[in-house]
Amino acid sequence: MKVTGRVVFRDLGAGAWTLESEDGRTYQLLGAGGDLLREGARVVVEGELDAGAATAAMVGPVLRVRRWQPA
Amino acid sequence: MGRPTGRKKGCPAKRASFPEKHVSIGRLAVLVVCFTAGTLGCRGAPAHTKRTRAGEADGARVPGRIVVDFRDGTPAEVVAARAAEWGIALRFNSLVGPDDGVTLGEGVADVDALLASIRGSPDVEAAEPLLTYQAQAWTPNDPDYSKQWNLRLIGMPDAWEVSRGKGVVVAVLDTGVAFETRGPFVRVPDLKNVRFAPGYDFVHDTEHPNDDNGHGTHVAGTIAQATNNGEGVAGIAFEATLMPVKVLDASGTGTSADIADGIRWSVDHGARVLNLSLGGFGYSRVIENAVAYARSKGAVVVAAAGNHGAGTVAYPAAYGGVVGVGAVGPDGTRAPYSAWGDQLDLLAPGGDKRRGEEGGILQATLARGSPGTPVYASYQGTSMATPHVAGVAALLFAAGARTPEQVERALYEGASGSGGWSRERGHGLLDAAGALRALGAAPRIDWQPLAASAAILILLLLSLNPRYRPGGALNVLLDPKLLLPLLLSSVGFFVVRIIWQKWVGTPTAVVEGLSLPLPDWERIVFGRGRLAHPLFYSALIPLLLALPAMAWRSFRPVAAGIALGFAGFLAYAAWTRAPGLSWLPFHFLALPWLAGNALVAALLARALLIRREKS
Repeated sequence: MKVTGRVVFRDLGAGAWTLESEDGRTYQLLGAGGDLLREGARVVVEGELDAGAATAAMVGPVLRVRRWQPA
Repeated sequence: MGRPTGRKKGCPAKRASFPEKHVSIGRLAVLVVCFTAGTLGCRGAPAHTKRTRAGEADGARVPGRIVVDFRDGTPAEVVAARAAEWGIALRFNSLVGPDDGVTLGEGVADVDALLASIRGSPDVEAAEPLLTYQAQAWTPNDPDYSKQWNLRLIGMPDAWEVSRGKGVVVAVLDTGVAFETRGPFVRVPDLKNVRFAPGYDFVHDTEHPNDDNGHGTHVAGTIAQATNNGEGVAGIAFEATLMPVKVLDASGTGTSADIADGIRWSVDHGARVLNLSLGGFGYSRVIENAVAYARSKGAVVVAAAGNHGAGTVAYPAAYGGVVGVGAVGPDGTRAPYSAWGDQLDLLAPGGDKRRGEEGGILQATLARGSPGTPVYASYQGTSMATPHVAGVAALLFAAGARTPEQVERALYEGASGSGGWSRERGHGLLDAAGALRALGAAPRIDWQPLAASAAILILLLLSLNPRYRPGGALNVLLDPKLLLPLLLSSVGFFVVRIIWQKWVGTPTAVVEGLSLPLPDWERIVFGRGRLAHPLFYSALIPLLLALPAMAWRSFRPVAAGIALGFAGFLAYAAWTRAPGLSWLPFHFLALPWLAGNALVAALLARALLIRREKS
């Protein structure tokens, strides 16, 4: 799936990087490199939704990043 | 007991008042004072500006009263003269007053202003507001205990007087725990001397569940940080035994297979409490089955409601048989990130750092990205709330609870600050001292459904032509053939439980079930940890029982009593607006379902009550 949104760090538990999509959903980003993880960056992320994953952060469904580009 | 509210695990609703069986009034007063102090301390003012020695608390001012200590041997005439000069009444405090000069003044309008002038008098050694002192509950000597508002908010000082979780094994299913120094990993200093049971790492399949993230170590600290060791911070059940079970990788993510295996493994290796500060948004039958297995082995499973700030509870907290925990900040209100919903059971301190780090939960953990570096860090999240409940569950087991049902009942009945269950607060805010009190108390019998049944009966009788009314007025209630079935279906055969407890011992699951109202018997059939079953919470059972009554006239009062009881029970359930019905996908469907079935049951009772002339 492809999601356009804003990268946001959420200070919950040990902390988690999320993608706040334009339609108001929050995904927890996994498998992303350091370049993507910049607070406030507007990006288009392509990846797989991992519905079965459980996380310590629990901020939203897990989006496993395959590739991304600035929006 | 057996209140028709929205509980998913067949747990009783929170009680409104606690029978004080084991706690004297004096201790209760101390508890109230401590709890209030703890709560107020969280609302802006520094909680403890000065550390106090154990067994002594800062005194509380008595309004309008002062104590004046004159120089030893000051004659009574001088005291009287000074009293006249200051415009107050002074009397010696006790028989030693004329020697030591300690006097009491009463009716002082402005205490501070008067004291300022009194202190200038050459006859006076000291003058101060009259203070009351109360023995304070046990206070640990950990230097940063004063920053742990969360422990005071849940009444830990008093709970520690009763239980510290000795011997209870609590499994922490998480990113691991910094419990051993090995390779790049360290044991954090504030877990020194904490008891550990052998754990397992399901992520790497080794016997070394070391923490490569920090989350699990923080969570374990809330449960059982080394306490009263003069180092760092305190934990809740610090005499419990921690079992580190690694099911989340370094990024804090895990699979349903590892989590399910971790649940089964920890229970098989002696864990009585399972802490799952983790969650996802996809249903997993594998994990749900593992939870059911854990409960069948007598373990309490506690899980985080989620940090997505919405009205849906994450899995595994949403499964039946799991205590789902939401988070509150220092002021006791639900934190903005915390999820709520049908499967929310309790709130506990999870922190709220919008106003700074001190609003979070402080425990020993590992520096972010550096698993070899111990730090103390303030975290927030429902992950942090969950171990508070797990810790108190351990206290309850150590204090004598034998089954998960007993632990959950005590947790819910002891919870504070809510008038029953709600989607927003569950059964209320965790209260460790309250839960330990509730453990010894008998379950509450809920009479409201019976009152609802009686009201419906009156309406039914009024709706009947006097010619067809059975007996006169409410005489029908005096017929045991109607009254006993009515009691059974509205409040339950609670007598069975009371008799069993008095003469036999701890009630078995069947006895507990039988003492519930008939609509709650689904818990015997379908097992505990379910939402209320819509077929049991319906007019189905009264309708089935009415069939034999059609042919067998003398059975009619029995069927009528059952139908009346169901009508009252279902009407009350609808009235309290807290039904959580399984198999109903939408919350709003529950209300019309209950109201409609209450009406059917009432009409059925009316038909059965009509007196017909013998043909």
